[in-house]
Amino acid sequence: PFLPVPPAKVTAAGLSFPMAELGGPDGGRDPAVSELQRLVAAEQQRAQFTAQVHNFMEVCWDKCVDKPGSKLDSRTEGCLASCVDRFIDTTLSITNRFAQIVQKGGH
Amino acid sequence: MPRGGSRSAMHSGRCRPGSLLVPWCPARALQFRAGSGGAGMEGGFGSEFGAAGGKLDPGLIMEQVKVQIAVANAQELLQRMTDKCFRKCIGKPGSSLDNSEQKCIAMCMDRYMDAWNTVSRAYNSRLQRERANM
Repeated sequence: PFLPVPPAKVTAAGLSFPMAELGGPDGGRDPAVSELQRLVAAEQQRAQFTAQVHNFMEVCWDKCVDKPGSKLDSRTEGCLASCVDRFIDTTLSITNRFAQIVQKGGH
Repeated sequence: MPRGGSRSAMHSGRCRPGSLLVPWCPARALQFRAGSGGAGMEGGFGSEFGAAGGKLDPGLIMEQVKVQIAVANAQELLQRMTDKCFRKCIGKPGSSLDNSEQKCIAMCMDRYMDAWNTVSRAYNSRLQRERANM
């Protein structure tokens, strides 16, 4: 009679939810289960976004904020925004180049 | 409390998901934890997780999932904020926090949350730009 809901694990990487276990062995027949899967997937995406913001903050705070004042000046705000973009660009750059290196038979 | 720019405001009609911190209905969440059930319900595990009479209630479960996520996020935020502000504000650790250190910590907290929102907006914009280019 109980439909067990497996515990959602919230980690720094986001939300990990054992989607396949939702609703138990008979979960496939219950439309509420697919609705739940949809809602949980949306929350997972949101949690991933938040986790990523924390990661950016780790790097960008040190790069952009000198001494905390009474408000963030426009230079600092600009730096933080640029930091996010440049970090993503760096990630893409490294990913692409690494793929090339691996393809050429390195490492 | 500053709002995370990226978070959509989802209203379940009962609980108002908050901004950076816990949604505005801790009482409701506690009620579920107490396993409140009506007559004829088997109570315990099932009703606690929003399963009434063997049927799932996605709404109730999602409320609890969101609370869990918000609490975890707040913990993460506090931990990182503490680390950063300690580094910025405390030089050589003395026998107590003096006034200037305490003021610095307070300002640092506010600036950290401002920065968090700025970064959040920037990331959101970038994601939208990438999606538009796909």
